[in-house]
Amino acid sequence: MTNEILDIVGALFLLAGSIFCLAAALGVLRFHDVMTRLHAATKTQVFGLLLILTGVAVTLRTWHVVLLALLTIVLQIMTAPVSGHMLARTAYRTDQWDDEHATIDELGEDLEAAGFRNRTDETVPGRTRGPLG
Amino acid sequence: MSEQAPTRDHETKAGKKERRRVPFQPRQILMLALIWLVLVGEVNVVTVVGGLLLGWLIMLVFPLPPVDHSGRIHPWRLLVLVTHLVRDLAVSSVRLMIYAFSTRVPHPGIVRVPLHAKADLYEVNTAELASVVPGTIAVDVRRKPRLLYLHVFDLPDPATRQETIDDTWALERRVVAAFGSAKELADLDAAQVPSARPSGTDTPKGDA
Repeated sequence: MTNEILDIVGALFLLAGSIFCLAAALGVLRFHDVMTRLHAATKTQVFGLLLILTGVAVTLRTWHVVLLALLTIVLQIMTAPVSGHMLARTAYRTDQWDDEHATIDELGEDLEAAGFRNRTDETVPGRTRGPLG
Repeated sequence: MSEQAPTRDHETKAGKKERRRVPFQPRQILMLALIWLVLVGEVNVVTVVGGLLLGWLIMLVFPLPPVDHSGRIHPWRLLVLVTHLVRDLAVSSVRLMIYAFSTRVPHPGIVRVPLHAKADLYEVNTAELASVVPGTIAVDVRRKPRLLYLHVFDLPDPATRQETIDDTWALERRVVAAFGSAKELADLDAAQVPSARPSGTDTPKGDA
């Protein structure tokens, strides 16, 4: 009896996780610039993976799988923000982000005050988005 | 601190202690061996010794500066931090999912958040976890003064930037509470008083 309940719970976790991964993929496809896509790729995807691995652990129910899932989740949560940050920083400094819809840009203010200018600001006049934006 | 350690070491001990460039870090070896055991899934003499050897090899091949950490880990507060983390992850994922399926265009913004924790470890942890807090990603990090530039997914009204700052400060406090000493936590509480809040007009000096 408990086995069947755990199987159903595991299946539900797997289903929910897949839905979040689908949403992440859709977000990466549909959002407008690198930054907003990164939000989808780093948060929704990590949460989807967390749910899927929980589902796997609940379904298989061995210590090895539980530890492996835990390790994977911890490493994912620790590494996803790092790669996300590197991409966001590069995207910002190569002007690949959507400043058309942006309401506030305090990094831009501070960088300008320090004398930094995006090269794309000069080479592509009148364009607010980068060549890949 | 951790960034400066190798250069300081190089300057003062160059010549007589050139061979100690790679610091021996038993804790790192132990952690790596533990991860190896989880990956292999078997505990016997071969895997334990093999894991320790691998950890030692990784320490030699990819040397990392030792982390300057004066506090200690509080299990209960760490649990609070992790619980908040999972809840934040869920909230931000659901919000992003709604955007992914709808046609609304978000209005992003980049907000400057000053931090108060003294050690690099706390700033790094706060920056990492801020990327999980609903709606933000760390775009840029500055060490001196300690500043975090967060890309907020949807910030239609710039007046609400204070919410982002408050959220990040609460996060910073949870990080220091989980990993720091009592003195560091008291220092942080003293630094985070509302009167010290920036008005948004002050521009910090420094190199970019």
